[in-house]
Amino acid sequence: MTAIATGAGAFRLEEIPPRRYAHVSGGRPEQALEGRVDESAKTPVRPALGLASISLAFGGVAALREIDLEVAQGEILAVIGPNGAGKSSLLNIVSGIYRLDRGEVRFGENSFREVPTSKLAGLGVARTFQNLALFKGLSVFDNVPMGLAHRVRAGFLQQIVGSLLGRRIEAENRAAAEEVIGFLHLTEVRDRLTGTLPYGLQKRVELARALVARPKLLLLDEPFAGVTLTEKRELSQHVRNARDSFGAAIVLIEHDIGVVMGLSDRVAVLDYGRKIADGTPDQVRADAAVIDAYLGVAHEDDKELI
Amino acid sequence: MNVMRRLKVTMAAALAVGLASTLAAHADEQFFPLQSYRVGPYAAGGTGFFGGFIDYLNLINIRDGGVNGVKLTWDEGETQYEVERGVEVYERLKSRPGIAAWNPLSVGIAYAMIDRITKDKVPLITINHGRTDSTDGRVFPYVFPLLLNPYSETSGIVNYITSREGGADKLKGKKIVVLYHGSPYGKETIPIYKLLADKYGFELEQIEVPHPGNEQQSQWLSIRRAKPDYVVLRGWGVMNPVALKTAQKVGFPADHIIGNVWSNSEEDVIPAGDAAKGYIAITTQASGAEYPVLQEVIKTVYGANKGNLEDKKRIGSVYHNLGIVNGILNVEAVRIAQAKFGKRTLTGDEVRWGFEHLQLDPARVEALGAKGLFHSINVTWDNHEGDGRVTFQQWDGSKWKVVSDWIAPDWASLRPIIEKSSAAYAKEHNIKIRASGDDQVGQ
Amino acid sequence: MPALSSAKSAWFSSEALWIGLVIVAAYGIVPLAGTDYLLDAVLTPFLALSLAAVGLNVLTGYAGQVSLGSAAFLAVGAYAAYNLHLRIPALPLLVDLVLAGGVAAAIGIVFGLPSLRLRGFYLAVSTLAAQFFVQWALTKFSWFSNDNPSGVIDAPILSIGSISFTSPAERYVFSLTIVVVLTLLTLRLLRSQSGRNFIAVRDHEITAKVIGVPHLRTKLLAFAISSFLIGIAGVLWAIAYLRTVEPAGFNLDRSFQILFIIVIGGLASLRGSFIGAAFIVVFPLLLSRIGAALLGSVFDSGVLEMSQRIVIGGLIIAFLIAEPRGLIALWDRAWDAMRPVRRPVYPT
Repeated sequence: MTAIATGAGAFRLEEIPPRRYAHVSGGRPEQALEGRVDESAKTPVRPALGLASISLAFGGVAALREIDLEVAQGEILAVIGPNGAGKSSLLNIVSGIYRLDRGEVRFGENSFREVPTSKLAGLGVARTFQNLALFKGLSVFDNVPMGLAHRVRAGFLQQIVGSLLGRRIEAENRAAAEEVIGFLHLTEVRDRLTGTLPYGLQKRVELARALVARPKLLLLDEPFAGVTLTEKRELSQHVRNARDSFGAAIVLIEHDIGVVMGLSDRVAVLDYGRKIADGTPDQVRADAAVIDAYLGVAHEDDKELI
Repeated sequence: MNVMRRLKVTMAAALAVGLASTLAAHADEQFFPLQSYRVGPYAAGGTGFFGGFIDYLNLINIRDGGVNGVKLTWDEGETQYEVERGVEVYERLKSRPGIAAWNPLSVGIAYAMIDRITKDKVPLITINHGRTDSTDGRVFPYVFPLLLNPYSETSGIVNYITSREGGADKLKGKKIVVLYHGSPYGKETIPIYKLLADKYGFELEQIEVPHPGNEQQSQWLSIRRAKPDYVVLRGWGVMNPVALKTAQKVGFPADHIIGNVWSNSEEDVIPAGDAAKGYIAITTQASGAEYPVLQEVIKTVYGANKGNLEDKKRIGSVYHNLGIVNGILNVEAVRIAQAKFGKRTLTGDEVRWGFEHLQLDPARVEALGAKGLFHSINVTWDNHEGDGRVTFQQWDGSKWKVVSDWIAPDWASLRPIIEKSSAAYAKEHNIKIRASGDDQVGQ
Repeated sequence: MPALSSAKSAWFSSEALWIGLVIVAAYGIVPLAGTDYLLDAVLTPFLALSLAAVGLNVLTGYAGQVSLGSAAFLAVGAYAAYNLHLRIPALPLLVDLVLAGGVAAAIGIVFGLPSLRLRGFYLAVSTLAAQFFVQWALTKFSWFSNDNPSGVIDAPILSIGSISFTSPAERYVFSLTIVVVLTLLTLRLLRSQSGRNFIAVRDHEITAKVIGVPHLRTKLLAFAISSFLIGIAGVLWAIAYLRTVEPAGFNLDRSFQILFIIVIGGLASLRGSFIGAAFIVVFPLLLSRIGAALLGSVFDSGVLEMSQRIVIGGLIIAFLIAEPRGLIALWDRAWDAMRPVRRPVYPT
């Protein structure tokens, strides 16, 4: 892979063999591309993510109550709310880490009562975590292709002897990783162990690992927490590029209202496990309930695990 | 770097001393490499046995100036009864000149050495233990389970019970329970007890005690239900005192419990305290220090402050006396071989010849000051055990007292089983079975 | 691997050079060794323990699954090889060896099943079950030792085709070849996707799961590979080194010894496995020699044993606190200080 995309540009789709793309997005690239073009509100295809009356309780304490939410393809949805409002719980339900008590989760055509975590990547869902969840013992260059681990079909014996299939997939994954690493300006540190990198860079590596699979749905749990203002701007540009270049639907949890308002197409507000508002940034900004919740005392005692 | 320099000087000095001792071995010396175990779980046996062995070698050196002028030397390597340490010591010491024989006192180490000593042509002595079929000298030319192998021990115990009951016909209908240690060692005699039960018509029950055996309530309850006439204790380590104590609790009389050779030491009964009183155990060598050879060891060796036991009260204990007897057998084998090959340092193969002609009748044993300590031995080229006799001793609460004559096991009926096993070994290892003992002694 | 070659080729080749040098030195030592002692009492057990440590390191160091059952897999390998040789004499020894590893791997998978539910301390306790069960089964059922009355069995003669390996030097060469081949294959595996999956499961299991790493399969694979390697190490230990097998030789102490090797040598480091094994084998021998030279008769076997335990215990505590990456980290630092070159991306 000689032509490595640099940060200024988006992913260059035309450089990627369509066969591979088909692999990643589960065989419906056209739809994903459409999602980029169409405005989310009037897209004719099924939403990338749909939540139907989700409820979750921890030992009698309700964390989420009757949440309905839809994210269209190519849409960036921000979920905001005070600490303990249930934002991370929501993502953990979507990624199958928590089992929901009632309700249903839909990814495109597939709907689940219990989301099968180990099949997420195959469904085209990727996520990052609130606290860093990198593989500290692997280099940046080894961490990023882990986002494609689900594609490796060769058995370990084939991997040892280096079968044709194994080598081809390995080379493709490496190339994809190389590209994302360049795209996110991580080339400098590509051979460093991720555990040794500064926080902001680690955040970026995690984003790279989520992006490398070109997910149809990308869940970002506070991707900008603890990074500098410049980095924040840069990262939000990358998030937007991901949407623009391959039509990912993005759900993002964020505290920085400024970033949220600038980046997202739509904002959902949670408070005490309920959705109290859902609309464009401007609508939400004017919502009385939201102002109330945000002006009120922030809830302590965060339930979020990850 | 003062410390470094001192270290270097010390190392150099140590090297020089090592070199000097190697050179000094050119004088006539016979070397006994000792794979001893003085720490670890079996230290009591190790210190007693190797202490006795060394005491006897010292006695020969001090009193007689060696065997016909050939000095006896030895070096110890700690094994902790672990096989790989035993192998390490073997490899470390095997290149020393003038090795007479190896005496590991450990079945595991002995097994690991069989290949090695056969290739190196040095005898391996496993007194009172070891691989039963190595009794067959036709297949195992270099291995000597002197005095008593596990099969003979089994037969000896049954013969003792026979004599106590007043004849073989009286065994019919009697019931014997064998309480054995749940290890390869403990299970080794299971088929032999069965064989003898069939032969004499006594009822037999064999009950396992899992290692280490510090909990035996259920075993002794089933013994109580079975109401046997005798219980044979084939124990090991902590299992023995626990067995005696539990027997007392369930009310089984101690004088109807017969211990085997690894349940016959002071260390096995003293922890049981009162419960051990009256307990009987087999032995190849009587305990006590009243025998002339023990008296000489006390006078000559301990008198010269060269005794090996730290605790002098252990002189004459079961393990110490086993070491003394082991010393006598090794030294006499060297002496017999010297008579044939000359009064000089012998090769291992020559000492092997000595062991194959190790015949000490009761008169010779008396001359050696060991009358009553052990009976006699008669090793031949094809019988490497040497028809050792056994006796039985009873614990009176403070010491062992001999309570039987010297009893002969029923070797004739055991030999076919041994030969069957050794033949299988020979086949598996492509060994040519020796047809006579006249084969050439290799140099 | 075209994608790998570009940036990494520089150290890849220098690494290959080093591996080559070490292997040449390892074979070259045979004619230089002089006495059998070095080969038979030091190097051959060192090789067997190294391979066992490599095996445990795959499981514990790389995949993060703690195991206290290593000795059980040593025993399984040793007894499997013995029984295969005995009962199917037609099989060549090398096939016996691989099958013995396979049997150990199968048992490893069975005892790895709890790892799908348990973690850390609880998993360690459940692997103890392997330790006790295997030892119990081998003692209980005398079929395993061919109904040998004393349960101790003697090893078959090592031979491949018409070449037999009987002298210490030959047995060393045999062990060395097996260890070199298996270590290189393990290295290759660890650098493949499976190896990265191991680390992913170790470093962040939930993320690994979310990302699509087949984490259950990965854990079982780690158990299988680890037990395979340890099983073959058991064959070397029993057949090439001790020349005998007894269940008591594979007790819990041995499991801890192998665990200590990787803790002292360095977790998640193949080189650390070798350095740790060298330390565990050579250290007691050195200590007894130096102790005897400096202190003379005061330094008897009791003192030696005690000081050995104290030093090893102290070292383990020290390493766990100060340098969890073990001796190999010290080695790398010393090396870097001498010659500031770029280290490999991740230590192996």
